[in-house]
Amino acid sequence: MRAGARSRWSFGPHVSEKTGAFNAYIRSQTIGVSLQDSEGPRKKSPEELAAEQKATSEISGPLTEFLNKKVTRREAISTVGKIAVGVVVVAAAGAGAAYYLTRPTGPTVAEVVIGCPFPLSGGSSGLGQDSQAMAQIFQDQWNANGGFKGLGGAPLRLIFIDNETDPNVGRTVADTLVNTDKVSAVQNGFLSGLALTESEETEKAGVPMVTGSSSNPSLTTRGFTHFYRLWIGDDKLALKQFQYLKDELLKNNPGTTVKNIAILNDDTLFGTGAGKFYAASNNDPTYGGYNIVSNITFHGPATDVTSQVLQLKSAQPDVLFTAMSFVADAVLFQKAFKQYNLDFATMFSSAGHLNPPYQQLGSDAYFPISRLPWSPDLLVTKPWEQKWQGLFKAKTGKDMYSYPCDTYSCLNTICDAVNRAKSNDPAKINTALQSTNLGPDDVMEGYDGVQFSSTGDNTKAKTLFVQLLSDNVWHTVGPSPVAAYKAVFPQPTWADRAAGKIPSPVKV
Amino acid sequence: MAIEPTALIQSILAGVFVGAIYSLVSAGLTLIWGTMRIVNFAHGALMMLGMYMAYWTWYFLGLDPLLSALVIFPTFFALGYAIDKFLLRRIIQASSVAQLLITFGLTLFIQNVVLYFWRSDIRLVTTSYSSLYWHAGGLVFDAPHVIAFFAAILCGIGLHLFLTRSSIGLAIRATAQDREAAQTVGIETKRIFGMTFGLGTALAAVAGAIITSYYPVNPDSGNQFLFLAFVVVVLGSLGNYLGALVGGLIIGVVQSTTGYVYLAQAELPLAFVVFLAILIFMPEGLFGKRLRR
Amino acid sequence: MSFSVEHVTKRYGGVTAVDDVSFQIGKGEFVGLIGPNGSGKTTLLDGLGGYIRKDAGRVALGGHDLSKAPPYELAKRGVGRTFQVPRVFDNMTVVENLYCVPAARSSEPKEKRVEDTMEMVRLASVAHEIAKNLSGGQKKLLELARVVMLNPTIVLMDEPFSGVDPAMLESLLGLMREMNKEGRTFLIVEHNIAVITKNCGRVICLDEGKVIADGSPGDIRNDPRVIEAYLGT
Repeated sequence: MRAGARSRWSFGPHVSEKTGAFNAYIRSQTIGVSLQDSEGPRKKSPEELAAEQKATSEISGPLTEFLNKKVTRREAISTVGKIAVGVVVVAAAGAGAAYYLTRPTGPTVAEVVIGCPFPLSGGSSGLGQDSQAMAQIFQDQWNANGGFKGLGGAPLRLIFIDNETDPNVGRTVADTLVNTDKVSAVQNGFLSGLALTESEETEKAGVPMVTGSSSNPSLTTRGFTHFYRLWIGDDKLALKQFQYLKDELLKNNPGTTVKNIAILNDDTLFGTGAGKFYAASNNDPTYGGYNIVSNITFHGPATDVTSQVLQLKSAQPDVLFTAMSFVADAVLFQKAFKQYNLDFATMFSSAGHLNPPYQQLGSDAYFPISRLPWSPDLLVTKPWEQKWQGLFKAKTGKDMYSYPCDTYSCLNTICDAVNRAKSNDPAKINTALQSTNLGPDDVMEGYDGVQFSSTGDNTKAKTLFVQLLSDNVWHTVGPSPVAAYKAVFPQPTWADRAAGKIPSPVKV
Repeated sequence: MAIEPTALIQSILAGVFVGAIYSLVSAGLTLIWGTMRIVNFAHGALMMLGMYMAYWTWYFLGLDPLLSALVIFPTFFALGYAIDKFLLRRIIQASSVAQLLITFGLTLFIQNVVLYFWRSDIRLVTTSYSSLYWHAGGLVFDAPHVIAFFAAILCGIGLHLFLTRSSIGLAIRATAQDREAAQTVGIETKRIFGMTFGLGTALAAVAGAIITSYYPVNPDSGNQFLFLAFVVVVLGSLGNYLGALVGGLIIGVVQSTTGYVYLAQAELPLAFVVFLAILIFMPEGLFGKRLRR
Repeated sequence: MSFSVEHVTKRYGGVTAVDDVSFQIGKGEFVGLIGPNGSGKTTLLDGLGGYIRKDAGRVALGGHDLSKAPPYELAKRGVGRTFQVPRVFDNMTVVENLYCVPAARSSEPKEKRVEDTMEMVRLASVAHEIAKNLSGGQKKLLELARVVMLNPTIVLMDEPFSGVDPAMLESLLGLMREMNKEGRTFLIVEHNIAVITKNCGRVICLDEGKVIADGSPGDIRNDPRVIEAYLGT
């Protein structure tokens, strides 16, 4: 069992109740039958035997009848059918009684339980652990501030469970959360692959799930009624990057021309999806129209990326669009770009590059451009976030970054809905979520707030363009109304970097 | 896309460089299988642990990973010996399912201990030669890959000499071929199992250590290599360490050249196609019994 | 250093394969162990060699109790063993087959002992051949050479002459006699009575797990119980 994980092998109680009852019934039948031919290993008193046989004939009626009589197949089936119906009726009655006895009585709610499946191990475990830290901070702060006002101050309790960065495990843990832990809602951070399977379980159980920057477009096109996303789908994000390239980067730097582009993505759900949307965006009549000179999907995490880099080197793209889920791959590629002297005007990036350890590469890491819901420049425009930055740093030793902010905003959105629903009932919370109307200061990201469309997309979401500048911080460089720094475009060549020609950050 | 000869040579060389690492990892895996008949799923995790030891000795003592490999070898030999003595010795006669579960359990245990203490962030070792490149005839060589390659080759030669020249090495091979007969000539196979597991573990850990100068370290780092090592072990005939040493190079080159010539996304599936083809058409592996040692 | 076997018994389910077998073999004896098929010869040899657990009885060499010793310990104590189908290390060379024997019972350098042994068994010409390429007889020689490397006190051999051509049989026997002259004891399981009675100084005959005769080849040949066991009734 992974660290921090709870058992994910438990079945819902409804299952075990039923099978338990059925097994007990079968066992009683077996005992009954074996006593028919008496003479057990232990000598029994006549009284005992008589009593048992009486009991036996009562319990085992249908089955002994079935065994003793020569029955036709049809009769046999109908007898088995009767037994089955009996079992189901008894189990249903039991379940009903159990539900009646344990149903929520009155308005008092002891606590509100929200499930937090995180990738605490596996490929994205660093992000998961940091997000878990943020969730713990959120829980402490929320309860310190008096808990749920709409529920007489009931405290918030988060359940953390490890999905091992594995969509199949995610499905299992989501099932555990909704069926065993009976959580009121589930927050899911940032990985599309996990959101996809986990939300299938929550949707089935009628428990709302709010995800942050899981950006796979298909997530909100499934017709789910209990699924909400704070950020934007990859299809729209890809196009926004092409738009940013044309309307800002190229327009502001007329000396640079871009004719050829290349797409490089890994073979995860995120990677292949994002790769496809880059290609599709290039068909856009306004913002696309470049030559795609190379379109590479590689298996991540990789052991060696030389061949991919050599392919790119032969293709000589002016701009590279990447989608890598794993930071280890981002590091390997960046090192190989340097080794083989691959120069681009710029490189668009995402997930793997945004994972902080990427920045251990130092100056070799600089200048990829990415799109994010959050950047540290927001600490200036939204000063209240500085307190959270402090708490986060105290707990993890790191500066706050985009993914933990997702967790904050997901939880805040859910808790707001719980307060308005004045209930911990998933259905009521779901209804409240549909009428969510939060402002810019209710979320950490650069959104205008939160308001959900009928598909569960956040109509107030916005993206920032960020670039890793030479102070080793991802700064907001676009879109122009919110840009804090000037984008470095084109990025310096490796030769320039070796010669020490590394531009310093320039504020707008 | 046109195939450029220099780029093709470059990608073949890259395959050889990374292949040498596969060789080392696979040699350890195949030795353990050949001698103890245990499929060691913990091999990748032990490799990862070697990477961490290299990282921390670099971080705290400034020791170059190649130097720390000299310390890592005996340390992990002892660790492997202890794992055999306290864990595997109890299950050496057990069903293969029990063995599989215990080595898999060991993997989870190691990964979680690492996660607990060091979290899952990737870590990079920076050496004085991390950014050292050599240019020759249009080819580029980076010092970390080249140095790791030669270190791996040295280890491979050392392993070969050990298994053909030393009494213990010969006893390991004798045990692998016939456990009972080995006992009749006075070889204490229990001890040999410990030594084999120690040796296999040390090889994986050293392979991990010498690549830290260019490969990011994290709790999952060993897995990528383990999967390929299984392919190599089957390719090189189960239990045949020479086959594994050669097979590692072959898989490395197949992987990188198909990645360059054909399609980058084909490289891993192709490695598995090779794997399946061998299982079906040459169940004895490429080297069959001819080269088995 | 006498080798003593006392009341050794081995049962498989309801069948008693070896039934209360006792005998003593003195230093330098050359003993044959015969008996019809299924009489328990190989089971007894496996019991003495530590391969199967005995249900009862004691085995000792020169006073050392070896009843519970595993095979490798027996080897270190000087009990050598060969198999009916020679079990050489197929994928190792002849030299490697000898080198892998731990040098516990000799002060001489291993190199010299390997060289001497190879000379003695006349395998020097194929020293660097992979063992699996040897002929069946050469494999038997190599197996015996491995035993020589142990510097054994007693050698247990399971059907050493089966499948060996007459020329090889002579050199194998010659080698065994040479070792015997050095004071090494032999206990040979053999199916073929003729070979045994011609070469052994003493013969033990087993039938249905029991010792039915123990004496000189002449005695054994004329023993009615042996004749009965072999001819059947």
